[in-house]
Amino acid sequence: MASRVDPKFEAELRRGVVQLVALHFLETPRYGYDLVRLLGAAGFAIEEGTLYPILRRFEKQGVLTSRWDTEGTRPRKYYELSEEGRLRKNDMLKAWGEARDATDEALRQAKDAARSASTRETPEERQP
Amino acid sequence: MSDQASPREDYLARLEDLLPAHEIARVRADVEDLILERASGEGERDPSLSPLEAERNAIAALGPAERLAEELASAPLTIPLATRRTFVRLLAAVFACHLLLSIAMAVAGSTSAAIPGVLGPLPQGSFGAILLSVITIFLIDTGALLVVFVAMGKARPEQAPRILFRSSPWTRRGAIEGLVLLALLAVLFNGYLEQIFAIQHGDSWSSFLAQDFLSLVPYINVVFALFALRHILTLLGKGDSTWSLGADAAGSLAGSAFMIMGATRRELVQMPSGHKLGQEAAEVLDNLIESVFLIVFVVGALLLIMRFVRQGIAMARRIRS
Repeated sequence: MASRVDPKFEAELRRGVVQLVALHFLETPRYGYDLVRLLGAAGFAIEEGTLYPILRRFEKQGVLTSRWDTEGTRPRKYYELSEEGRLRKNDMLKAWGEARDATDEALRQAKDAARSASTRETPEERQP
Repeated sequence: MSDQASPREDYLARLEDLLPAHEIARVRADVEDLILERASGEGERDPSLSPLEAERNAIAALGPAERLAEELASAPLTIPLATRRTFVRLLAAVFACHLLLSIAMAVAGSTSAAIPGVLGPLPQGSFGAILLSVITIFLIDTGALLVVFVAMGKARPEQAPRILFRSSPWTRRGAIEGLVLLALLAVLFNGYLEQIFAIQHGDSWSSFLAQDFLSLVPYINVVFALFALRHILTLLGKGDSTWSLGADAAGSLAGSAFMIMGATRRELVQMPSGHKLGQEAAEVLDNLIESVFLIVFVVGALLLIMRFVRQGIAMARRIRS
């Protein structure tokens, strides 16, 4: 069955999380296309056009360091988490955990409220 | 195919055009690397792909150069549709008003510019001269509006234009008050204008308003009548209607024409002979009163033109809905 999830909702949901996942993959030096493939395999399919601005922003903020490897047939740019990046990654992980817990809690409360509302209904009200 | 004509080079050239100068070299190298890596990966995954096709796929994965540049700059590099529409609508309104003013000045027989280099009568000579003048007006308005948009874009772009487009809800009480005010003004202009603007002359008082200026009084009555019609229509319709807005727009236009006619009179003030002021004092007073009238006329014309545009837009919206 086709998913009913709005693609925009899915994209917005993943946009923040993919940054956190990318930072985890960048614990070891990786080049752009390598990271795209790893993220895709992990269920976070992302195009270069979306990933590169994120990498560039992290690089500007000092979260990532980069270096050009000129040993191979073609120069290749590797990205890696900096010390500042490790701290940022941990903070992001904490924020993600809090957001996830808050979402779970809110959904649980909504479910409880719906359940208690349905038990308050009289048998007559439940008649079709 | 030469390397210069490759889609990669085209894409990078487009990106370079859009990026801030200090980012170009670095981003170009990064993006080229991404394209080459992806193209290489695509080629390995599907050997039937030609290098050109693989490169095209790699470029497609980056998305349009404009969007990538916007993401990198963290700011819109293209002008949003809403801004473009606002600009075009404002330009149309400003240009129309500017042109109307110039036509009105030409019809009124004005020979000098009200605002040098900006507002003056249309030439009445050859067709070419008129056309050139209209083009000049358009270019002046476009440039002025661009300056306004740049200035407002740095401040609060979504707020400033509302000054021009804010709605003016009318109530029954407001309409009655408006009618009373118009009646008072009509009585004042038609019966007491010369008595109010008067100076002592022997034992009596004489008006210092020039005949040229006084000849405009019938025109102001047309303006009053149109605004009164607006209020009456508002009262009858228990609120604004297309007709009441139309009457207001017409009144505003007629009012601005009156103001322009006032500003372009050859003589506004003429001190009566035999006044008790000295020659020098009379000249100073003459100039002072002329300046005050001129300011009132120019500011009044601008405010009424803004009102004309606002009511015209409100009327157009009503017709559309």
